[in-house]
Amino acid sequence: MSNETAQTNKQRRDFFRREMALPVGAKLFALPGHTKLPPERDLAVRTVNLSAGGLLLATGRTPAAERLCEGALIDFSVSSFGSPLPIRLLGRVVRVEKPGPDELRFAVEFILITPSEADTIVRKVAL
Amino acid sequence: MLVEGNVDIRYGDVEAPADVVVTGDVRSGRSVSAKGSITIQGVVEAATIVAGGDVSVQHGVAGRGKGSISAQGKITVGYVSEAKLDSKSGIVIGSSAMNSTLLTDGDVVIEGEGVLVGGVVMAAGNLTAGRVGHKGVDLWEKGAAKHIVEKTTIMLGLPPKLRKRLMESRPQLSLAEKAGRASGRNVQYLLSRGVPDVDEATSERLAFLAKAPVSAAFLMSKGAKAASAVNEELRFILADIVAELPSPSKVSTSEHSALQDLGLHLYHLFAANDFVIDVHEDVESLLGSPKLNKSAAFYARDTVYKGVELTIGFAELAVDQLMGGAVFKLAGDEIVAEHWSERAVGEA
Repeated sequence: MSNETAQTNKQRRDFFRREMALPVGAKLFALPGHTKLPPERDLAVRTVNLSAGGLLLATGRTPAAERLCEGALIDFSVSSFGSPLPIRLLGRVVRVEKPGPDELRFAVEFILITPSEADTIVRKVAL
Repeated sequence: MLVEGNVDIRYGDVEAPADVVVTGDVRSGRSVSAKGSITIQGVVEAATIVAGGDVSVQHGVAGRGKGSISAQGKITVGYVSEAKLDSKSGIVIGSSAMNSTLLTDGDVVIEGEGVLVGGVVMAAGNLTAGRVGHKGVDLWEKGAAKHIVEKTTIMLGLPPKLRKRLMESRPQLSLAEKAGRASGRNVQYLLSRGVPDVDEATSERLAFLAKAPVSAAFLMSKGAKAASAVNEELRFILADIVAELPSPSKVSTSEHSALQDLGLHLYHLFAANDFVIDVHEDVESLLGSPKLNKSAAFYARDTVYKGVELTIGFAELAVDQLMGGAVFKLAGDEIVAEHWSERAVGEA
């Protein structure tokens, strides 16, 4: 087993994951190697599952989504956690899946997250 | 169109494609609307007046809390009491305004004794009045009922629609601005201690950007483009920093944890800036490109009583003592009061 695979499995074990469609705003934050970003950075996504460590996203095969690759950064905004301001989470794409001709899926790990934000997600997932 | 006499329950409401002249009063519950100007030679009671042009009410408006006048042009009234006046071009009042709401993208002038007691003035331009406020604050402190005379609140320098929209967003904007300031301070602190992997030039640039988080005042004075440019630079540097970070599930060295901390606070600064810019863009899409009128001023010819609350742009001042004639205006981010003089008014 490679280190990366071991790491992915470790992450899978670290956080309880729950299938849920969470309303999130998602914006392309950066592409690896400072590749120029498209003018339209909003991504129409839906969450497949969520954990305190990251989430699995599904999108249609839009031009913006087609540009996402491993290492791309996504800026998430979640308003449904009851905080006065939307919670913002920065995630990094760690895996790209193509389950069908019209769908892309992205496994994303939260790269910048505070313990309290992680705790909020844990409580959301546990409910 | 000429209405000889009163607009009352017998006459009914008035709706005209051009100008309207009413020689009497407009009584409670009635409405007069015209695509042109409206002239009322009597009194407007708790009625509704809407004009595509100017509105002139020769006597005055006794609105009983329900009267309102809305005009695309200027509104001129003898006096106004417990009513709402909303004008694109400006409001001129002959003698006094009591417990009323005066909204305009232009100036408000109260002539004669210039009494402004209670209510709200929201104007993009200047307010000129004589005696402003009342002794109510002292009376309240002695136990008098507050409903007899309202607080006097004056807000200048921004169009009323924009001011209201910002006031609605204010709780969230305040939180975002506070979060931005806190994150900015954290970034500066971490940089002052030194963060491995961040070179000196980047560190200096980040410290500079962290010192001035985006705020509503920043946006109004420097514009959305400047604010977006600040955040785009932050995003660019942050992307570089994040590229250096290992997966959070991997064991971090102390070197990485310093970089991780910096990244987190930078991201929070970015997010706070982004939120404030988003609200501003939302407002811009509603209102065009609103601008702060930094030269807006409050000219009080005679007296300003304790308890008057004044906002010019984003600066606030609560008058805490009885003052003689004074000119209140912006000096940087603060309101300053100067002695009243005709010269000061002339210079403005």
